[in-house]
Amino acid sequence: MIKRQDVVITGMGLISPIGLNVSELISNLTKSQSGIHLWESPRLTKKFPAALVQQSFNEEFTKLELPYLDRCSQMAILAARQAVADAGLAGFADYGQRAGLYFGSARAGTETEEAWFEQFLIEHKETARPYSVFAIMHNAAAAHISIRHQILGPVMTHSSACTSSGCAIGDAYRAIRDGYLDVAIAGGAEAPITASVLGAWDGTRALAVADSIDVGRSCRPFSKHRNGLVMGEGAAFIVLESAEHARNRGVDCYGAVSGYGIASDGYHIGSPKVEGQVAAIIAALDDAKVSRGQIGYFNAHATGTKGGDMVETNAIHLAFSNAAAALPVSSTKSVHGHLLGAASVLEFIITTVAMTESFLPATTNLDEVDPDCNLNHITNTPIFNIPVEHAMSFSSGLGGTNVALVVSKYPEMSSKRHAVPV
Amino acid sequence: MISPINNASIVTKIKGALNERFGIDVTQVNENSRLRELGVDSLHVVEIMLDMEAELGIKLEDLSVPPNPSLGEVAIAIGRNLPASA
Repeated sequence: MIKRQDVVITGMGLISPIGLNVSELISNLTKSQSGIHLWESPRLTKKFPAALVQQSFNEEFTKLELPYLDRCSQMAILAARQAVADAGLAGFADYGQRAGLYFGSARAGTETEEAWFEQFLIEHKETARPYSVFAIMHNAAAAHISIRHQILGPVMTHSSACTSSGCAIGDAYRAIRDGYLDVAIAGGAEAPITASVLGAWDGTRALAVADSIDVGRSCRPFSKHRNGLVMGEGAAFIVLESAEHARNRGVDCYGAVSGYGIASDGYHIGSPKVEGQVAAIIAALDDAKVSRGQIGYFNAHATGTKGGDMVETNAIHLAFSNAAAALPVSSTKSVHGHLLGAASVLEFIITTVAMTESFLPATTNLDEVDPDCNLNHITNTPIFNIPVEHAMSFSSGLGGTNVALVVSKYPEMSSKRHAVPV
Repeated sequence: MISPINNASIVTKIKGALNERFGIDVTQVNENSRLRELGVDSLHVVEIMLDMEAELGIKLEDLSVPPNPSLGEVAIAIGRNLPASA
């Protein structure tokens, strides 16, 4: 029987609406700084609040590379590069098939796809540019990262809506834990802020209306005054490896992925179900072998929709039972929006830095909690100097996939932290 | 008088496209330069040939080029598609 390996986190990288790297993200989280801005398009009458990465990354790539790279792939490549560098790794060729990449995205090459449809439907072009297929395809970002870093084992793309990158982390964790891999990169990317996507999502009636006084306050999870989700963009990756492998390399770690639970609702394409969420949370707790009372922070999926936040509240109560009353809960989507396929990994990194930096990030814009969302909320401002030994990040995807991940301190190795700008 | 489209003029046009579209410094590039050595792959070559279609006002029926072509070989492939009177 193969010995189960402890799986540690040795690298993290991201590009998000609240920071272009992990240090910036921590700094902005501690200040509850919102990355939500008003977004408009000449194609749409309505203006939307959106969590934006207010930067073009074209300058980071050559003109030979750019035609292949949708914005989604660009951010993925840059975030993965940060994570790999942070882990102190250069390339993975020497690992052969024992290095893997697990990538999640709900939409992938959205901008390129929209551009081609515009050419096809409006300009009546019948043939696309030669690269369009490669820029649009769902596994493009994973392939680019694999090529650049010579990851020669499994290179997998997950798509389960808002849990895509959570499943990616979970599968990477299992592959290392069960001895198939020594090291893996896991994460996700999303660049959905385009007129066609916002217009499509507007059709679900799930998008928030921009706050008329402060657009940065448009996303209000768990609030009595919540009115929908705010779409966001970005990419985030972590490097996972077996503790034995990390020790042999002589590197420190942020902590360990100690539990993964995945469960599906089998219920409705667009409505979540309490039972599926409870099953994922309990499975992760069981996998991590921690009791309900040991979870010191819970990063909720809560997007700010009327129905979704209420279902999750019920799921937390059912899964955590008596421990729910004391469980600190927040939804950081209130500041970074909903990154769809990249949401899980971004929030997992936030959960991890909450543990390494001993603070509990807040749900902002929570002046009046919805009585139907009665939890132990971290309201409006973070709470500092709170030691966290184990924390959980939870995600729930359209279509009914639910993922819970537990991160734990790993005292068997030296711990690692990020330098945070003042 | 309209100057004839010969191999050398197509090479010049390709060099222009390499510089303009892909930002490649073409000062040291000549007809013997291999495109792969310039970082240009087969799909970039397709795009260049499509640029040439627009530039020369022709339709390339045959886009085939040898593996790892030189600029000169791409020019020959384009020239193959030119009408005899061009």
